[in-house]
Amino acid sequence: MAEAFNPLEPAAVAEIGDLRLRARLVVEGLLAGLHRSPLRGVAQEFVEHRPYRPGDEPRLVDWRVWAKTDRLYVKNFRQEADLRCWLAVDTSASMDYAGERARGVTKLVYAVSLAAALAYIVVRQGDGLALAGFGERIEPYLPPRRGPLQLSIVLAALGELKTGGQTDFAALARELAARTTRRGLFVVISDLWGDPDVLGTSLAALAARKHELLCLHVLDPDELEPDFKGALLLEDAEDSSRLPVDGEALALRYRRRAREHFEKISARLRSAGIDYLRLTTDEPFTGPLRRFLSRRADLVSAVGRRTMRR
Amino acid sequence: MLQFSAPWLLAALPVALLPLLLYWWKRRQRHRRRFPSLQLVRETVAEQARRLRLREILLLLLRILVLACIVLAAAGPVVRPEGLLGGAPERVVVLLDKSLSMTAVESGVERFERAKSACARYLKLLPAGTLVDLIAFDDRPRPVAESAEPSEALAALGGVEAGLGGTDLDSALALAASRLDSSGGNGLAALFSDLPAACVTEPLAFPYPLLVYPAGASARNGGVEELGARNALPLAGAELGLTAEVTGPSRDYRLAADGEEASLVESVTGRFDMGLVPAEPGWTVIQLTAEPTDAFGVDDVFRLAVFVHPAPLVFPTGDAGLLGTALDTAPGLASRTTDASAADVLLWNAEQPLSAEQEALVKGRLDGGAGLMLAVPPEDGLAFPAWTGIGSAVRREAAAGYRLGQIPENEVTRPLAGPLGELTRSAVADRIAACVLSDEWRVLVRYSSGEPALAYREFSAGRLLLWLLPYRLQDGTFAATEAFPSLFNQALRFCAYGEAEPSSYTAGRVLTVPASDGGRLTAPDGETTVLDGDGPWSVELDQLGVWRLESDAGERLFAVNAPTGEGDLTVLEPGDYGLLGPTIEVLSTEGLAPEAVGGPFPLWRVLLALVVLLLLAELALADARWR
Repeated sequence: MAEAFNPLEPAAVAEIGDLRLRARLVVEGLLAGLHRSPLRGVAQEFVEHRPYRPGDEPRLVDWRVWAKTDRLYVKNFRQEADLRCWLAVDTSASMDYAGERARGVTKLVYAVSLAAALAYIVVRQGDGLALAGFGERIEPYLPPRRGPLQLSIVLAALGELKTGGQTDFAALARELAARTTRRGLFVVISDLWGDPDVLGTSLAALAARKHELLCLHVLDPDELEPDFKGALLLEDAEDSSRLPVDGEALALRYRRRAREHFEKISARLRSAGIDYLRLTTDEPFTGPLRRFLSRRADLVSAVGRRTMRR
Repeated sequence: MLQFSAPWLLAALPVALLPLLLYWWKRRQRHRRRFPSLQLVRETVAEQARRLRLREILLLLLRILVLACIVLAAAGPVVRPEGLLGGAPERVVVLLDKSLSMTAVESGVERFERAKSACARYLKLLPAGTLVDLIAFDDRPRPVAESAEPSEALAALGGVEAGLGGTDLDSALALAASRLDSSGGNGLAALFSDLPAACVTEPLAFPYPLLVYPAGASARNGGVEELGARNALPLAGAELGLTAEVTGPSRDYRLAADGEEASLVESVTGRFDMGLVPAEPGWTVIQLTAEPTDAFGVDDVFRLAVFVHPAPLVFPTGDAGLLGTALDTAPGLASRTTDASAADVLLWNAEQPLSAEQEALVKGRLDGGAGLMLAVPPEDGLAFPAWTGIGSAVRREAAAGYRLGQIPENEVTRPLAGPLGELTRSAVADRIAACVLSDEWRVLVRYSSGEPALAYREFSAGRLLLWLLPYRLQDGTFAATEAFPSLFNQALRFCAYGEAEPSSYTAGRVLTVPASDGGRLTAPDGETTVLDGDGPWSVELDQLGVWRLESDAGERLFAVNAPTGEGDLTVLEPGDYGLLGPTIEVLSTEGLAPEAVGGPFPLWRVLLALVVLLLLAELALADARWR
């Protein structure tokens, strides 16, 4: 039986030339059933103390005030009102790769679709949207703004993204930290090739500045389970270096090593409080992203409820 | 030594390097492929680089080995035992025994034919260019081909025939050694012989590799151990008693003389007696064949060559005067010459010369081919203390030959052998006959015991002086017991050879006839050779029996006997080969045909098995799980 056409398949999505239309199509599928904006930040601001009432959660009690005044007060928080979301899309040369299983969808195309969808959501929420393409340097950089015009600008910029050079996560972290004064949501879309320690340290530094980080790890299936066969001369997409290998001999051990490597990255980021989601270009990102955003929405909702009880 | 049946296929050996070329070609033809990042690839490759390199090298080696083994196997390698071809020696001296014992027929095949066939196969195996010395030998080595190509030696081999001579292995080996010396030591000798007992009395020292192909039959499955004549003196017309000692499983025995079956004894074991009556004087070959009753045994043939003497002149027993009586009654003598075993003693006092009439009578009998016998009482033994004038007469007149009382002890140290050796041994226990060489024939008379004795003097044709002892010699001295068989043996030889040096007239030897004796030489089969022109002449005594040389100087008879060790064709036991000493490599102790001994080993089979193993190893190593 022929496989039913899925309009959200990466290849199908990539076929849609109009990026806005692509983003809209994706987002509509993505947000179906979600009652709240999935990209609300989970960060909260302290507002005031109020007297403790029975039923309040003990963890909200400010024990230092109790020690000074001998009265029980609870802390009231408020969710940040205007979210600023930075979409950081990896434009290094390694993103320009599409294996057979990805059916021509390069990681960059996939990342652009993903970024467009997220941009659409952010703008629809009325939040500020910024875009940073990053490889060896930050280019383009669109500072955060609100409104449909910003969406158009971002989508246009996404459509113009070109790959080249290597990824410098340290530079990315430095640049973004220098250009942002307020806390915001950073969505990093990258294949995360590079030194895992540098990567972890750089992104953790951003997270340490009270920014919220979302790392969307985009990989081609070949990078997880390569189909190396025969004698090969592999060429690095980023630095064009070459390496002769025995395909079959390499494939087995590479798979195991790749699994370990990516697990290590995942653990490192999560330990730094960075949300991490791995996506492969042969599968629609809508499913995993939806589940991921759904979990975030639930978290935002829980925090929101606490705030509403003031 | 390694040889190839198709050496030209070795030219394909470079094919084995094909995997190496393919490896290089594949490395040059690597498919180029872009990959997002080689970060993990590099780490993985670095981790497995050493193992992969080792595996690559091993795989390469295995594949090269597989192809090399296939090519080598196709070339048909065989490993021949070192020495069969001797590592392509420069010179091979082939010694072929053509002595009398090689004419023995075993399992329907003559030993000589078997040895010759093996020799031919061996020569065919020798690579061209090998210098071959083919030496046939019996009493003396006779070069047949010298420094010849193997094919030439093979052609020359066809003309070699077995003779009647003895086996002088020492001389043959000495000649072989000298030939090999001349080749600088790069060579070997191959001996095809039945290794008769006469050759193995002492360990042989041979400085080069020596291959021995025993041409004799395999170990006997029981059979005749001994065949002897009970009669001291085989006489024509008288029954010759034979004693056989047989062992082993039950067999059928066939006794034959001169080709005619004499008796048949079925399934006996141990010692048994037989008898036959030789009709004619001269050499007769008595053959006892043991036929196995099972399908796996071989005929066991035992031959005994016996010289049958003419019927003797027997004198009636009596006192001193009986000789005269006997001679006086000469017309009646003929009727008393029928039974040698019942011979009486003629008493004659030597101090009383025979009358002319008596001498004429005796001479007349001897001219007719008769012999004389003398009985000696046992109590005297060989010391003959009671001999009176007779003994002294012997001492005086037998200066050139053996004299009674002067036989050195242990003069003959080798075991008694020869055609009548067994006869001698078996006869000692019962009745011993002796002949004594003397310048002149004597008839001795003994008086002391009152028993008659006979002395006889040679008058013309008579050549024998026989002592017939009707009793055992055990009552005599030890020296007598030891010495007498030796004496007797040599005396018998003299009987056979008729000359002072018996060994000069063994079959196969060359008789040198002085120029003064030229005349007509008649062989036993009647063939006559005229010896004229300038002498001396050399005549090979190639027939057993009595040769007659008629010349102006008179008539001489040569009784040509089978050589010592050759007349007895008893098969050598395998253990006997061990006596040959450490320098001789005996390839078989079972008398196998040479082609079955140390045959080539098909190395190609091992190579094919190795190919299978290498392929399995290659498959296992090539498996991805090993990566």
